[in-house]
Amino acid sequence: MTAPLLEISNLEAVYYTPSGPVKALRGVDLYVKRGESVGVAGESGCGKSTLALSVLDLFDRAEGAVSGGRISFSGMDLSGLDEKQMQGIRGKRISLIMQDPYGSFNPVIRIGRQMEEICRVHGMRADETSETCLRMLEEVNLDRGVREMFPHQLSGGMLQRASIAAALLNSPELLIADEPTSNLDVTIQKKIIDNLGVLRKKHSLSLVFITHNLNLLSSLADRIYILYAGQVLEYGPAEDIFSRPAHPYTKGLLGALPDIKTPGSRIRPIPGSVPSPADTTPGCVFFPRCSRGSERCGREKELIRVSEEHYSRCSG
Amino acid sequence: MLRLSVLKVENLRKTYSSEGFLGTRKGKVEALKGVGFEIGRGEVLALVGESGSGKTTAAKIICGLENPDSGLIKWRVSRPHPAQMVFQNPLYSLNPKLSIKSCLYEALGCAGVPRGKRPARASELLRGAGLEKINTSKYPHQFSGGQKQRIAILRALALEPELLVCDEPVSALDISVQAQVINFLKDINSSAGLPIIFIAHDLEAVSMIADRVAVMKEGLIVEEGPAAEVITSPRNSYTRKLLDSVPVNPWLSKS
Repeated sequence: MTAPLLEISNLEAVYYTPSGPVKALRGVDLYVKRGESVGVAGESGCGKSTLALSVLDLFDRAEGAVSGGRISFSGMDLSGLDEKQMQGIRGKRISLIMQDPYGSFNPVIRIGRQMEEICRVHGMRADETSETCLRMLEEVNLDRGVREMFPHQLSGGMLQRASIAAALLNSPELLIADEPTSNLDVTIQKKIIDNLGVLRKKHSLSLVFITHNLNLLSSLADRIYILYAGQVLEYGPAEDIFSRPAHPYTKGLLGALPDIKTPGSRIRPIPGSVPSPADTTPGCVFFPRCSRGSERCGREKELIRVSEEHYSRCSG
Repeated sequence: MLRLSVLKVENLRKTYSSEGFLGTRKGKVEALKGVGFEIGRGEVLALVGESGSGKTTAAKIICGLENPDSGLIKWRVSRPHPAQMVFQNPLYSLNPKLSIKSCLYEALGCAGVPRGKRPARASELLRGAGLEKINTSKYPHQFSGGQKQRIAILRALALEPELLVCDEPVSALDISVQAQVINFLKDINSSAGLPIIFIAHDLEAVSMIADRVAVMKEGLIVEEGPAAEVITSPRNSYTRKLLDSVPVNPWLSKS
């Protein structure tokens, strides 16, 4: 088997708080093969965005940092790179799309100029930048006139498509999308998801798609990781996660999904809420919310193989 | 078959005019172009549509937060302020400087509940939302999103409304806790018979709670009918488009 494009092992990340550092990631293992689309699902506060920040080393130094583990990209240890080398990776070989597109662009510079800058800083020839930007705008179905516009002149959906175009300018190998559709209307969400599916195939792009809505991953992800309280509780091929979930948390997430085919049906939410990262109670992190807990849940649980490529910390 | 109506609105129109940068340009947005609907006692009416369809403007007009340019609003209620509103993000709608206790007491005070009776009434409300165990001396940011939204709903209920208007009450929440709020709204509706206007942009949430659905587009209602009918056999092309946008999960088929 060839080495994966992205391999994260035993990753830990902390945020500094007035009462000391708290662990937002507690030993995450994750890999993305070349050309693969990986979904990362979990509730707010599970560490999904921290994972994205860790890969690209985008922490505000005063707020948090990667505190352990290893991130290897295309055979290269990212933690060994200095800031200058890391800048050569961001937006060139690994790109990020964030939830709020208005935060991704500078509000006072025209979209086209911002896109051309992304090309230029990564060494694209000046006579190619303009054409590259136009081609990418076309691929996300935006009019070329968007180049002359300021971010506030575009709707959220259009601007999010512009940010996808900007992310793909330098033909990255890996695209990380962190809740890219959560702020958008459902019709726009569908367009973006479809668009990402097409672009992924066309550019043989590897994708990490982060979301709280497992339903979105059904059409997009080859494999899915379920993240909770900074740990991977279960991972496996999308079909296994949806059809044969092993972990009670995964089952809870699936059970909480609304089903439009049975209007009026009552959905079971997962009771309670995600524990604070400052909570360091030993044992299974999901135990306080779990309906099947027993005394063995007081012990730390390892990821156990369920079937080929499907692993879970619990078998229910 | 329409139950005895609580509220009937007819031909609501509202145009917002905006001034451009430094007053250079003037634009007009017709938010409502003649909207009418009726909501019966004990009914949950969903207003569905995308951003800019006029859903929130309609809600604000019903709650008296905005005046229509023209149109009729007919209430069949016993009190002067019959509607209470629940907003999208409880993080912003709850006062961050008020503990949950003070927040509820303040609302109860507005409803004319005497000081001595407020603690008992507040506990009663919290019990109804399954929140009897929370520490009410805590502040909004110390609660999870689902809890905060239920608290915001309780604050609205403290004023004993005759109609609850919920504007995108679950869109800021994780999908795993949306049902906490939707189930709670369903309980209020079925136990107290409180009519609810439920505004949302996605039909998935709507399908869980609505008795009737009105689909809005560009300031007009394009389709209206019983929820099951609109969702299973939509007649309008725009309703079909909304339905087609719901992510279909081929692996999940709940019975």
